Amino acid sequence: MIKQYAIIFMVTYIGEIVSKLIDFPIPGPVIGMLVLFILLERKLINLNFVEKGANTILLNLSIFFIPPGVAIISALDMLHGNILKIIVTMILTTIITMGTTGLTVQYLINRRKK
Amino acid sequence: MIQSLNSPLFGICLTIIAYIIGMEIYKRFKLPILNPILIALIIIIPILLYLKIPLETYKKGGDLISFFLAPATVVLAVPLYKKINLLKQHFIPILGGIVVGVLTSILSCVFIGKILKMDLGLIRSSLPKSVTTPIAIELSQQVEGFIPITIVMVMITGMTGAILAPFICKVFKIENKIAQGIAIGTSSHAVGTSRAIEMGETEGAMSGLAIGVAGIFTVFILPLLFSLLF
Repeated sequence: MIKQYAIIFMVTYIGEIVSKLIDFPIPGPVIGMLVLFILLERKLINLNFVEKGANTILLNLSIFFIPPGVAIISALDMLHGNILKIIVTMILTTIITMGTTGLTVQYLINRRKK
Repeated sequence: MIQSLNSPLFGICLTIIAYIIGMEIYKRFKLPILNPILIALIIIIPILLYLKIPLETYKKGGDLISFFLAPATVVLAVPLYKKINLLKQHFIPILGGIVVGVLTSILSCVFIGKILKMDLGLIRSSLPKSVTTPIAIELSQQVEGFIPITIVMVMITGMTGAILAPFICKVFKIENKIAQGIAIGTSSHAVGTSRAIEMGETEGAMSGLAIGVAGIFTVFILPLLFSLLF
C-alpha cells in the first residue's frame, strides 16, 4: 500500500511542478491527473500499482471537501439575502446544462446512424 | 480547555465524526437532499459558531485533511482510465456533447446570474459549479471566486441533478442511454452520477466517464472564456 501512495504523491508533486513551469493556468492536481492517466494509458505503469491506493481515497472523497466548505463561516454575510438566488440559479443552470448536453449527444449519435 | 482546541487534532476529529454521521444518515435514507457533506457542514458550523471557536482554530486540523484534495484529484485518473474504452466507441457524440455542456454550464451561470442581479463574486464562484468538487475548488481560485461558496454551489448542483435527472431526460426527450449518462455526469458530476447508476449500467458508466472528461475540458475552456467575459 505504501508503494501505491509513493506513486500517487510523486505524480501529484510532478503536477505541481509542471503547473508552475507552464504559462497556461492549469491546476497542478489536474496536470497530475493527466500525467497519471497517460502513464496508465501508455502502460508505463500497471493499474495494480495505484488502484488500491486510489480506491481508498476515492471511497471517502467527500471528507476532503468538508474543511474548505466550513470556511463558508467567513462568508455568511456574502450569502445573506442571496441564498434563494443561488439555489434558483443552480437549479436552472443544471436543468439547462443537462438538457443541452443530452440533446447534443443524442443528435450526434442519431446522425451517425443514418 | 481552550488550549486543547489549539491542537490540529480538534479539527481532524470534528471533521471525521461529522463525516461519519453524514455518511450514516445518507446511507440510511439514500435521499440526494441528505447530502453527506451538507450534513457535516450543518453539524460543524453551528458548533464553531455557538462555542465561538475561531475558523483559524478549526483550520489547523482542517487544512491537514483538505491537503489530500490534490492527490484525490490525481487519482480521478484511475476511474477515467477504466472507462476510457466507452469514449472510444462514441468519440464524436460524447466529446461534442461534453464541450456543449461545459460551455452551456458556464454561460448559463453568467446569464442567469446577471438576470437575477447576483453579486459578481457569486457569479464568479458559480462558474466551475458543474465539475467534480476537487477540480471546482482549483478553478474557483483561478476565476477569483470564493471557494466555500463554490463548494456549496457544486453541492446544490449535484443534488439538483440527482433529484431531477429522470424528469429532465423526459422533458427534453433524451431517450438514448448514452446521452442520458453523459448529460448527467457533465451537468452534475459524481452526485448526479449516483442517480445515473440507479437508472442503469450504461447510464452510470457514461455519467462516470463524463465527470473526468468534463472536468478536464472545463479546466481548459474556463480560463479562456473568463478572460473574454470578465
